[in-house]
Amino acid sequence: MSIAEFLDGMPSFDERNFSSFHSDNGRSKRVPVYISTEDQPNDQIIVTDKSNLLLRYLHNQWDKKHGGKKRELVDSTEEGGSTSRKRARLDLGRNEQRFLNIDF
Amino acid sequence: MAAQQFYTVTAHKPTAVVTSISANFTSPTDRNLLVARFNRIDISLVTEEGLQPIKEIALYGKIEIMKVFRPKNKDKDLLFVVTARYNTMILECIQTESGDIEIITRAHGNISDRVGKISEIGAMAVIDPSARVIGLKLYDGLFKIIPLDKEGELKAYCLRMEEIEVQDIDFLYGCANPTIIIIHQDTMGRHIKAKELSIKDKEFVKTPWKQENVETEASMIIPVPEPLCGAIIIGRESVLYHNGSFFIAISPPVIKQSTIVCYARIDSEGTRYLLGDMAGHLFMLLLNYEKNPDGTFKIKDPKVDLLGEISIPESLTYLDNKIIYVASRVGDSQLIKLNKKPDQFGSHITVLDTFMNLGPIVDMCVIDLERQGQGQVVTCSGAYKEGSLRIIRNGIGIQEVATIDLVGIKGMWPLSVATDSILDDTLVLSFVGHSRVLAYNGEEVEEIDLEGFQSELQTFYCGNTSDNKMVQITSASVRLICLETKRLVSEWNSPAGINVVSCNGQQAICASGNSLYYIEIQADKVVQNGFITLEHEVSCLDVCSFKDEFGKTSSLVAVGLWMDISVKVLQLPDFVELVREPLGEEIIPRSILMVTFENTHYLLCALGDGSLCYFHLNPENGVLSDKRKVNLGTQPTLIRKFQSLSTTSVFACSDHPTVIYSSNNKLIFSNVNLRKVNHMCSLNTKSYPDSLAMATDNAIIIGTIDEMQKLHIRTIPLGEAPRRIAHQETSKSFGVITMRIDVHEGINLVPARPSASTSAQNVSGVINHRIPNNSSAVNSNQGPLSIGSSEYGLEVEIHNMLVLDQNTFEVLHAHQLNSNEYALSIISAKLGDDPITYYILGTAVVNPEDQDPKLGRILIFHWDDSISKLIPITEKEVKGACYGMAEFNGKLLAAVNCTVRLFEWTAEKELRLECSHFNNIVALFVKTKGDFIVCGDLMRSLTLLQYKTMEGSFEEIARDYNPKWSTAIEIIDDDVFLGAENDKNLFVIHKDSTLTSDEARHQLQEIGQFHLGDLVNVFRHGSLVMQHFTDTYVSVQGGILYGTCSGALGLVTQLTPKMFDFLSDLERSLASVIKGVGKIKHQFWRSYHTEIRTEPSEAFVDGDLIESFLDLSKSDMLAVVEGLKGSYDSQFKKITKESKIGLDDVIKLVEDLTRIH
Repeated sequence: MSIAEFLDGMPSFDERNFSSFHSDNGRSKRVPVYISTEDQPNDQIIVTDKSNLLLRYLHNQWDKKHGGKKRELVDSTEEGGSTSRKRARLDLGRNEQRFLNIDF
Repeated sequence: MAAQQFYTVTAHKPTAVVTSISANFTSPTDRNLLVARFNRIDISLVTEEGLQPIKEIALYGKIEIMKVFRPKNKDKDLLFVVTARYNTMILECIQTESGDIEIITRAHGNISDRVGKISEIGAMAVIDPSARVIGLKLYDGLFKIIPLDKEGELKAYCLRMEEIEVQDIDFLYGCANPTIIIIHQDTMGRHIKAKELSIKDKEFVKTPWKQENVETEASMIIPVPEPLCGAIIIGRESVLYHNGSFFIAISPPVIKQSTIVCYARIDSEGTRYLLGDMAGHLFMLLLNYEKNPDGTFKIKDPKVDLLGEISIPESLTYLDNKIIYVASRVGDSQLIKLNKKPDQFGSHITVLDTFMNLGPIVDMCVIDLERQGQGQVVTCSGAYKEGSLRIIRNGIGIQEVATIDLVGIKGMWPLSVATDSILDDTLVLSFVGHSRVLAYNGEEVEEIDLEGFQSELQTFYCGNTSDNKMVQITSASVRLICLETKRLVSEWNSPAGINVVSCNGQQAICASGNSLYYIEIQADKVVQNGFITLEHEVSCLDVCSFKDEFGKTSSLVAVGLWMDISVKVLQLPDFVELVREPLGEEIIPRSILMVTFENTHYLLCALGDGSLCYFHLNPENGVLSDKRKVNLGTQPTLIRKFQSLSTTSVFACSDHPTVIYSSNNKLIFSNVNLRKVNHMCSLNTKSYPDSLAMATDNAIIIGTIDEMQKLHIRTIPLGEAPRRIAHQETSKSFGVITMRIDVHEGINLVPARPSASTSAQNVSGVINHRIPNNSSAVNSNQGPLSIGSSEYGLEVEIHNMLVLDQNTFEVLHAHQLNSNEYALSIISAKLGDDPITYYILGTAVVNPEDQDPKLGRILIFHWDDSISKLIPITEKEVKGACYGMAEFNGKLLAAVNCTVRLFEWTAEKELRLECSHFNNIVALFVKTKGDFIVCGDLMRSLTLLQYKTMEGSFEEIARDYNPKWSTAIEIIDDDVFLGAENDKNLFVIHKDSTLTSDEARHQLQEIGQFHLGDLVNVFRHGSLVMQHFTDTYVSVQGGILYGTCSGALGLVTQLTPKMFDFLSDLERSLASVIKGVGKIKHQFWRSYHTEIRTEPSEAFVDGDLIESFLDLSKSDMLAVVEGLKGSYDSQFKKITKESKIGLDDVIKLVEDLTRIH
């Protein structure tokens, strides 16, 4: 029978766990609340890459096409200009951004 | 108008579980259970005795996602949490040297995007099995990646995901690059697809495999670990295993009844799984395989079997040794054990423990049955089969076991007469002029003559001493009686009689007028050992011994005096006066007691007016400090010590009996569910172990005492979902709307399971569903939803109105509605001049084709409790759904679709429409005060209407023009209104009549806002504590209780401007001293937040933060007080000079605040 087979193979991490179980365990005691007043050491900060998905894609494509020499080209060509123009539009307003993000 | 400012605090913490997981979190060897409830993570340890709670971590945010993962080089798990406002954190637990734990925020940040359509299915997070990346599905069309194996900043980025409607996501095991598998839906159906991710290119680079058109209801992915890899896809009717090159599907009939919503993997090889469904069934899933000689695997048919029934699960967590934690959001959570052998019902499950959950609180009412000025709350809690009513009261419950009718008891003491037992077997009772002895023989009680016992006089004290002897102190003498020989051994006679006595077994102090005698009780004699004459007569006294740290015993006597209303502390044996403390009251002390709680010594003194003064006591020099006062009752109070559950507590006998105990070094005054107690003592007999005996005016009650819990909760399981509740005082009953699921079986509807409405004593309405074979009548009553054979097995919601007894909660009557008619509102009201109080039910006829219900009814019933009969009086058809109702000046006010309508009650007992107001999208709630009506709209916030009596019409006075999806509303006073909205904020709006222009006056002003984070379903005026428990500092004005979706009960109350200034300063200081876990700022958490705007909280103080002050260490408390910006005098009034408040003043204030709920 599958249930017996299923239950027989259930793992045990420590046989003693729950061996002397009683149900009101710790219920009457209040669980201590964790409060920290210490300044913790500097942790890693999770930030969001705000760059535009389409631009990232185009950059990637460009990089693939032109091998490693991306920076010099970007600075002098039209590409740089167009990037800055598009960057400026990012802050125009919600609708504009939504358009940029969704409609490509 | 004075400024309106508020304090909001949680009275009962949220209990609905968001998720649960097991992990090695607190150490590499500890096996922990982590349970997320609203904003808390409860950490417990799996031990021999069971689950041992270790710590409760509160976050500044509602937990939406909680996962564990193990980085490559770690030997224990880290915790990944995302809150509802997308605050993200990675937490690690570290053991400190003191054995405590510290939670370290390893990473944190906010991952919300400014644009993007939030996925309707909810936020999902998945972690790569090799812990390289975390993937998040927050917005449609985007998949966010947080790279993990980076130093410094973790830069999350979004990937474009062309599959828009994603049902489920997870990472696959055994892939070189992180690879996700998704179930997604398009117009063709549902498909699964594996997508490989390139961390370097930040793109999905290829699709290793996919399977189109899996089951149309496929909803859950279970990734299978190595060596098998691949994934199990759970659908509505099938279970599919797929690994890209091979698949196998089965369609087990047992899972067809409901939808599987969660799973737990049991073993690391991934062969055993538990599945839980929405109906609370627990299934096993076994995926067996054999290894072929060539190293490939031969996968056998997966096996699915039903193990039994559990609470409707939100998540399942395997702990150890066949024990599983069942986390529930809509019912109580459970700890269950799986057994090989089924029980008599075929279930393989034993429930070991349940963990109470009030959520979701759908509705509630506040009642005061005992008329003690203290409310109790009755909630409609839970959903589906977990539906229940919960009765919540502040205080301690006494479970009555036995009562004996006896009048005029003046005192009671337990006694052990049998010399070979430490159990009590006898109760000594004292009356004016005589005493009696009751012997317990099993559960039988008989009066006995105890030889040597003086029964001709009133007894003041009686008790066992060492060496099988007992002491009896009467109005004349102190008597030592041998229990073996039943003879008087020694006696000390008072020269002038005895009025007041205290005795601790070895020492007795007897007062006669203003004379005090110290009598030592030795092994075989009683000896006078001291004497003093005081300046006034003694009103009460207490003797108590204290051991100092060297084991030296000192004995103190506390004395309360007539005339000068003072308390003295004297030292034995010579009655050396250590302290004289005038009470500064005008009422004489009537009972005095020295007691030690949690290693702190107190002196309590109860006064003749029912109030209680208490001090800290230094037993070495008798010095009294930190005087406080509370009002317990209104009559002279007697305080007695007793032992319960191995802790010392004090019972205050009065017209409002109270138990005083200590928790977290705070004195807690907890009501007892008895009306009046004159005397009490503890009792520990064979039949009544660990009990209390309490004397009322005409009886002795023997009972056991509940745990020292502040809120006392009783559960009435209904087995179906309660939706609305109304209390009817005249008939001592509750009216409750419930919803039950019935299943089509052929042409009949059959209840899915027995529940409150199917087991009522009487039934009415559409009752033919109950009889499966009564086919002729069925169709005529089905309304538009007639049944075809294709609907076999279809679930239908059946609404009932139940009438329940207010004391026993028996279901006296069930009135069933048509299968397409939903009951939406119920009130109890008197209408017009009619003397009868009616139950009024508002309904809607729901037609799936209609956008809004086009039809509804208002039904009026009279519950005649004398004959237990529900009498239908009348019904009125309305053109829409009747969402809310209120009694309004003897008329009936109803919110029907977009209108608010007023009905008159005619002499013919019929409803007649008087006037209507039409300016809403959907009017959901109506509340009234005087001639004013507040209406809460689905999306247009609140509108204030006035009823013009002369014209018989409504006038719209003002409205809140800021759109809000209101979920509950309440009137605070004539021109201030409280609301809760869908974005989980509280708001207060005000009608400002002082404005000059008509236009400005027509706008309700927002004057308060606060982010609660939880969805409020109901507000009710009332309080869980007796009003007089609150003393000096805090005045609770118009407390409003709220109930939430997560099962929290909270309180909103008004603050005086002085108190608000101080508390908001304290709140600010606390927020800077306490460091939020995950580095979320408190100010961010409580800021008013909607999709459109985020603004700082205003005119609200966060009581939960204020109360956490008491959990701080002394030095941190000092830092908080020093961090206050303003200067205050000792009454918390702002001053320009140097601040005068000390730490103790603040502690006292916050302690007071904890007692308002």
